[in-house]
Amino acid sequence: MKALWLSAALSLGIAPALAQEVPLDETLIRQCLRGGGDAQCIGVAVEPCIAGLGGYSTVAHQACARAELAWWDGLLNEAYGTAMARARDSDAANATEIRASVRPSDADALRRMQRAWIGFRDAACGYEALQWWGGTGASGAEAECLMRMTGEQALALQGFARER
Amino acid sequence: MSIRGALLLIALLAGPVQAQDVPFDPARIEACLANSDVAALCVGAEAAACMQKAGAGSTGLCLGTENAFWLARIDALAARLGAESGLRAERAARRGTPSPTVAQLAEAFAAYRQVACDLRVAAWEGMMTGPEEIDCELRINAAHALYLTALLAP
Repeated sequence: MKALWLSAALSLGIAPALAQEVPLDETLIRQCLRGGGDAQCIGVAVEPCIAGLGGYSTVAHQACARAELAWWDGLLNEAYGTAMARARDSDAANATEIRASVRPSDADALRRMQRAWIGFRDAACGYEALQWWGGTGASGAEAECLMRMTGEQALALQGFARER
Repeated sequence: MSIRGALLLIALLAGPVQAQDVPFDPARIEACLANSDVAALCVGAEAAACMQKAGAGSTGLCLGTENAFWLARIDALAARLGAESGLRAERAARRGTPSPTVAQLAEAFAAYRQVACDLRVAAWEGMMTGPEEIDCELRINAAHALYLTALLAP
């Protein structure tokens, strides 16, 4: 099923010519993940999406990368919720040690990690956009960076939840 | 490396295997990076081979040595990036669109690495916390070095 990313496109200020529909085929990502592709699945729907918009342009690139970013962002939020639930379970099982300060809280550590990751993501993707500063590729490069880092973090959080 | 990490490394270096005995060859990582399509496969392999050769008590030393390899690589790459992007950053700032500098990127990365490894170590107790922390730093540093390498790629 192809997702329509109209609202995302509008909220991200994508050109009106593209705002009608960004044809991101999210089943490509799901199939890739089911096949064990992990991080190699990040970005897998971007090229077909660009083709669906009539071929490469910087606007199409940005629109498709932003659409796939939105998909990974949804997975990240879901993974963070699951990871936090596991962390709280772990804290409850180790409440005595945590109160006695002989063991750190998993939930606090997870929250701190996620906050620091947001700072790192913003710095890295802002820096990547700078490499294209003055060129039309800057917004696409930043969107690709945000998509890649968000995807990697979503998978890392899923891994954390599995291990706890 | 954090102060805590450095102290940990020193403590681990005091184990039965000494630094001069460590069977670690950075050239093998370089060769792997030059010949592999998937650079991530080159991460941790030399530390694993080192541990296998050096035997019991070498975990911290082998992981620490590879971690130092990736840290040195990050420093060298950041210096190159700083030299290449300084002018662009100045121009962007003058025109009112400031972007993060290499130093700010490094600072944000270090803050993330610290708490990411705190999280990983939180589940471990006793003697395992040391190797877990160094392994965590090694993998995050290596990933960052590969990322910086990609930024510099033509």
